Amino acid sequence: MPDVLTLFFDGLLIAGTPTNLMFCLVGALLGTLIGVLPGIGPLATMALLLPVTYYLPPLAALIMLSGIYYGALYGGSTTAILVNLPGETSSVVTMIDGHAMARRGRAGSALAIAAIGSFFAGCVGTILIALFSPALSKVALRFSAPEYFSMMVLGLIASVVLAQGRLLKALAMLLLGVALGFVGTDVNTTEQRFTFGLPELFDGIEFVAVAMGLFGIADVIANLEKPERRNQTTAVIGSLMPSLAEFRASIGAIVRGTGLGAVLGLLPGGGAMLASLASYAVEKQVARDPSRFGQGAIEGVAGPEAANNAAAQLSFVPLLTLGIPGNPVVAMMLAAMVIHGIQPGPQVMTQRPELFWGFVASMWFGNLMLLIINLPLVGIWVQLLRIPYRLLFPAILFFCCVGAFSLNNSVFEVGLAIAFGVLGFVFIKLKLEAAPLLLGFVLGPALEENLRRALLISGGDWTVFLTRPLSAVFLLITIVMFAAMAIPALAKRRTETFSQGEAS
Amino acid sequence: MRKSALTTFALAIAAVTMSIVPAAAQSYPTKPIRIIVPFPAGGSADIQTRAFADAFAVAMGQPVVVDNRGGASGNIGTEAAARAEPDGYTLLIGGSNVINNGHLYKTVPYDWKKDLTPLGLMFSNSNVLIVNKDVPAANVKEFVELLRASPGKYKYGTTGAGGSTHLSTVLFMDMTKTDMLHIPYKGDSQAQTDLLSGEIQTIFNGISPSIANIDAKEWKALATTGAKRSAKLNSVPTLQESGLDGYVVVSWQGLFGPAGMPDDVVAKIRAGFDAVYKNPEALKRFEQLGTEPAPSTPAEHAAFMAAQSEIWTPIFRKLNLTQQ
Repeated sequence: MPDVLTLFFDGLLIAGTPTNLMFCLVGALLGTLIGVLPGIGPLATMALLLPVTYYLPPLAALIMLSGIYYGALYGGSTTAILVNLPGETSSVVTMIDGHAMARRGRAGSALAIAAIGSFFAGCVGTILIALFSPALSKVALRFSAPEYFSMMVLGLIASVVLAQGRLLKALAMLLLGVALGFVGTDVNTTEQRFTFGLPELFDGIEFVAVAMGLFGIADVIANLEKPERRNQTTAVIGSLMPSLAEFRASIGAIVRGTGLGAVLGLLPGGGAMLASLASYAVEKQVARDPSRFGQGAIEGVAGPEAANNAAAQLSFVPLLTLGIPGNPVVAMMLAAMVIHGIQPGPQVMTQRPELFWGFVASMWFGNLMLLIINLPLVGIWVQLLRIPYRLLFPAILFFCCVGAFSLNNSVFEVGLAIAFGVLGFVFIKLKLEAAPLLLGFVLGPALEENLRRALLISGGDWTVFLTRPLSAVFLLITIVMFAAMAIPALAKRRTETFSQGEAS
Repeated sequence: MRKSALTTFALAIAAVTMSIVPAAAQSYPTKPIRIIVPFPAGGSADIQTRAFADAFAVAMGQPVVVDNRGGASGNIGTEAAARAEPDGYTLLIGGSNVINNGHLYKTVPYDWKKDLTPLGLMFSNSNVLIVNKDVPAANVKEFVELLRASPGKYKYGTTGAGGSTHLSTVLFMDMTKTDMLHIPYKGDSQAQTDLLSGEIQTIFNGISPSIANIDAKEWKALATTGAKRSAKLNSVPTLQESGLDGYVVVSWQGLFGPAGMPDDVVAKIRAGFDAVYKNPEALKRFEQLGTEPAPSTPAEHAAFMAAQSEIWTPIFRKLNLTQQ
């Protein structure tokens, strides 16, 4: 067996040909562009470009498509930070503190740290794939329904940690999100739930429509209400690069986020969104002053951005080693590979080493390119904030409508996004946070699905959640986390005064 | 799941350009043709349709736009096609969803027998019955004996109740008088992972996504589901050969139009359709995609649909799913 480093180096040479680098650049640029535009995602873009890849050499095709995938993640955070609109689903968490930073004139800093964090995570992800792919695939095999269920319980409790306000309000929003997530056809019985006979709801509510409404559109309505503050926030730009203090604060978050993302990315269906959520929750827990979160804490941008990029990178592991694509975007990569006569699976590493290593090495090039593209772009992006709001907000609404429409080429989703926009405005008025709702919306149905499946497989035996070690560990962490959260909540008043004194 | 604004944009551009040309006089087709895929972009129906559409556009001499109208397991896109003008400018890709949704939903906004014109079958792919490597059975006969020895013990994964993998397994159990436990999944990636780790023992899976793990001896292929052996798994017998007489279940796609299309338009579409399956480049692409072209005449397509309905209606009755 040749040395892994030699193989990786060979891969760098294969991926580093001018043609491959060019396709890497094209993919990364396209990805950034569609990432910035809300609603238009990497999946549809890759589907449209798939016919083009017939005419490309296999490696160039794969390099371009994967560039679109992680380029979209980089681009998604840009929209999230600048205009409080999730460009991609995984950037919902980035929005919370990223946009708060932008309001305080630290948009450049937030964008830069997002790019740097993503780059670091991308590099580590590439190395992990190169060194440990076969071992990592075993992790994915350890996860079945009981483990997912316990992880989702942990995720739901962690979502409450995201909230700044009162525990009860956050819980209420979380449960509302879970209820919205149940809309659609039940997979076990084909029963319709909460669809009110509307066929458009049979497949459930589109995540993008909800996120766009609750954040992007609601934010526009709220901003239009108070013109003076609006003009100020959009004009302040501040320095483009993170200060030394900000940088120092981010390093730990980036490393932790990368670790979390690397593990969660391995799991089918887990992926980028869960990773960024987990990272945010961890950062808020380890922070000396958690009250800064939501007001523009840079760790709240650095950690989740690193996490979602690491997760995106590592989500290739199950495909490359088990032949199983963990999410629809990776499934598109599988389709592209099959077109070129490559069958990813346990044997691709030995049968097609030049392709495997070239592809792995190209990930590193892709991330480097995205850093090179994105850092100078920071200066241009923040100029967007100079655009008078009376011109900016119609543009935001326009892109929201296009994005919502393009989900199913139907106006139903546009109406849905507007309805959630109005709802989001009501939430802002009532000082209810939308983030826990969105997380409940994603995690709740996954929790239910895995609970029912775990019990089906175990024959109705509830002890399965405690007898399986990984599942038991997750539940234990949940209890510890809940206790850590509930105890300060009981002594809330004292904590608040204390943290406010420290923050100012 | 999202879909391209690009398609919409292309349609808009096309609409603007075409309005300049005088509408009358020329014969069909004088403007771009839209093929509705009733699922989001990126799925297998979508990928196959795009490969077809490129060659179809060449044959028709007009752009062909793939319009993804997802929702309600295909009902929304199918309804849109059924309600469209039968002028040949709106076509539809349909598969088992066209027939089966009638059993899954209380109200389906179209009647496939009355509202759609079958224009020809396009693709037909067999599936493969795979078991985890630890299942002590090398062929269907041994597997059936195993199942009979311990009814309800073995677990099978599906992509959801009432879906095609569920139906395939229920038909299998019905014909072999066996009983397994149904474990539904949303999508197939977790089901495949659970089959690898042994949480579940068997799945009816697509052939392409199964080959890597069959070659690596993680899964055992017991039989394929088509009428003939699959070229990709030539050593594996079909279920018919394995003693399940009449068990032929395929994943199929066909081209449809709204009801009441003029004969001359149908004839032109058919000419374009036939040209696609004579176009070497298109055939090469289908092969690369791992999909089996299975072109048929409209009459064969209609007869196939009727036969499918015969097979599945009693199975749905047996399943007794809640109709909504």
